[in-house]
Amino acid sequence: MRLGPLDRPIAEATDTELGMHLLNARGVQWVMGSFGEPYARILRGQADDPYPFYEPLRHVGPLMPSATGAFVTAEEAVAAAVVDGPGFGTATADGAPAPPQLLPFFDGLPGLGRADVDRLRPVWEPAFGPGAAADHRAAAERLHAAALDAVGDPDGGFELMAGFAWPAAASVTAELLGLPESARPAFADCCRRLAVLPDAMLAGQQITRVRELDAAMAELDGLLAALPAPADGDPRAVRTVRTLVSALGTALAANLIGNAVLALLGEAKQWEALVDAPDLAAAAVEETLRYDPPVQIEARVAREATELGGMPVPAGGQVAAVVAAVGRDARVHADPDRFDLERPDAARHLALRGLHYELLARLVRLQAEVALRTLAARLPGLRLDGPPLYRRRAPVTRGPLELPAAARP
Amino acid sequence: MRVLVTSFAHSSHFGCMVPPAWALRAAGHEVQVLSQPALTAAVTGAGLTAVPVGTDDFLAIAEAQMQGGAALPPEARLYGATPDEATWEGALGLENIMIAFPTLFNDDRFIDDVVSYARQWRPDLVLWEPWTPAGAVAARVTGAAHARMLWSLDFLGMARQTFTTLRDRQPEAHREDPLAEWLTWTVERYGGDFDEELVTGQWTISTMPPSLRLPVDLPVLDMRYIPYNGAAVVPDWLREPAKRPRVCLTLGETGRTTLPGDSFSPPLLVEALADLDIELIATLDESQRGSLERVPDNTRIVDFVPLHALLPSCSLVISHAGAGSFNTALYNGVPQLLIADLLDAPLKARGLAERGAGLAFHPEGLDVEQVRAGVVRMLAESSFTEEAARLREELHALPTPAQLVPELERLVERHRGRSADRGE
Repeated sequence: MRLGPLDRPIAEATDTELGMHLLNARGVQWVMGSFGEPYARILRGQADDPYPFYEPLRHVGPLMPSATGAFVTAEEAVAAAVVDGPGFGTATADGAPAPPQLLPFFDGLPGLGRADVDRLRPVWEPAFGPGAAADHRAAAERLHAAALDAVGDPDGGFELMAGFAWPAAASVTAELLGLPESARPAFADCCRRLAVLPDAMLAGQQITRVRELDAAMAELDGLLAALPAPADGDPRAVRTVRTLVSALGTALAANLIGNAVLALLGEAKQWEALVDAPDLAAAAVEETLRYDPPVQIEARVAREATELGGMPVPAGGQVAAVVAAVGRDARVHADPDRFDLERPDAARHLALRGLHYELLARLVRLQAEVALRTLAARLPGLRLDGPPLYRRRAPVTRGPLELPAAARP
Repeated sequence: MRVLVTSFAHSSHFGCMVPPAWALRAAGHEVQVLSQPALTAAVTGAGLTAVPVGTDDFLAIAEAQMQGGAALPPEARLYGATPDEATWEGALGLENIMIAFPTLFNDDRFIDDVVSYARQWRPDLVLWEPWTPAGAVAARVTGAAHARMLWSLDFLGMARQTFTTLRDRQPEAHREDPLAEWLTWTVERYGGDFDEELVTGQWTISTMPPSLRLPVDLPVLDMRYIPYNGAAVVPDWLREPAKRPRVCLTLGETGRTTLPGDSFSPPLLVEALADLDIELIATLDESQRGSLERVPDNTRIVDFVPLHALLPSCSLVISHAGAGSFNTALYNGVPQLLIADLLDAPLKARGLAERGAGLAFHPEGLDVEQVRAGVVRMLAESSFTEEAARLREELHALPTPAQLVPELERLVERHRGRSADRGE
């Protein structure tokens, strides 16, 4: 049973073609998982806590050829070579999706290689490069505060993801893209609907969800197309950068905020430490990226035949680097399952590294840091108000779907 | 009225639907059987009218899957589990895995053809085999009444009940239902909408003795099972009464391809039973015959035997608990030694063993000596025959298909009507 990308754009597939493709992928991945294939078990995505399912990967050598068709690694050095390596992109050398990726790329979000990111640099650097950091911080501080104002009475309990993390993250992205106020609610809605996209590439989803994804992508495309184009930019490149920032960047920021808040509130005294010393916010973000990153698996494609972890990988071979497992590896970090703001080597992780993260990571980190500062300053008595709810079939992205919280003055 | 029988091309599942089809026909109703071309000979052989639709392509795929490793994942053991015995993840896994069967048997071409024929022929009632929901879709589209006709315990209805119960206990965001997804986009193609009747039928016809049934909460119509195992000629040797206890060994097509192991195979079993004072009638295929060193004096090897002709004279059946052999043995009150592995078979074996009318074995790690000891015990202890006789009485107390025809007519009047074609 070979899994691979749907052979046509989603909109051109009949319900039976798309639906059976997805049901088949889900069924095959499920059966493999039931027979003990550890990566298939991870792709099933049925657990609130994925971390126990990474443990078996640590006993299969540095690189495991999985029955699913992917090569899988949870080993720090190998995973680093994959996420950062110039020989790996998100697509084959000619830009095609590589099996066992399940869906084709979207026009606005094509497969990328190192050269593509460099080619895009003139488009993203002015708006999203290091030089824009001060503007970003000012925008985030203002808009996150406004998002929290809109919560109303947080003392009575609120849902932190839909109530704060998503609107805050989406409003900053919208502002930086220059979207008019009138388009922002629809934009935020599109970003949230697109959160499932990275999961849909690797794990079979419901047909309704994939159709919805396709519709949200089209709607986002329409909103972004209405923006004025920079005079000197290649229109395709501009479109790709804007789509990356919207469809991936917003979800990364929202999920990272959710994961950080949850970790801080879940471990004794960590939230109080942040409230006492708000400058710990950046450290909290870094420790969250190690402890519970918003992207758990980075799928990359070898553009040429290569050797990895002592094993040959053919050109077009997909390698799944389980970066979340590396962050919890006891061979890398002492007491890896403890969230610790004081951890000296918290920044030793593989989250948000390589390729498109070069343009996304800065803003994602900043958004999370500002969100934590805002919450700590305004709601020092923040606490969990019930168990978080996680999505299913989400082995790639990680963040609470719902995070019930309340604040006591 | 017009009655459409739909079954994917599986001769023993279809065989269970033949007597009610005869009964309806004899009562003056029109009956036609829709299936893939591979079943046409079986349909016409039963004296019924065949409407071949779709293609036989699925047979090669199904065969390749069986040969590619017949092992089923652990979820397959969840058949028969109550919501308290199963987990949500297990029940969902079973749905996600087993949907491969009905979607394979009911591809778009087949469903299109079934719906299109139903639109033209306008049946009043569709009787559908449980893995042939194309019949339910066609009924939903045309406004015909429709019923699911079982060939086994309602293990599929039970799995569905357990699944939906557990599903509804999940947070909204965690709920999923692959079978409903498939049937939704399928029926919507014809302007209809999904409801649970497309999975379970407006009612279910069961031919199992009630005391053996699984606790499934669906409207059920009882019908006596009437054996029909294909066109039959009574062979010469079967015209003489048995002089010694007659034992039938039939492991079916499934058993032939999947059961043989190191310590158990049908030929090994034949040899292990050679010294018993019995008359063993063993159905073996060419290759199994080839691996027999000799045919023991107490054994008759046959390639095929109509079970409805053979079993009345048998004292014991050794089988894989397939649809035809299990039901025919129940009908004749013959105790059964069951080597059961697939799908519903372990449930049937367990149920029969719990009732004391049989013994249940699993083929994995099975030793031929265990089976021999079981045969000796079952022939020596009369309780097996007594319990099998009680089940036979229970089954024979159910109305025959002919007696049930008026009830079917009443049910059709009550259920017929809602038609997607008429925008209802």
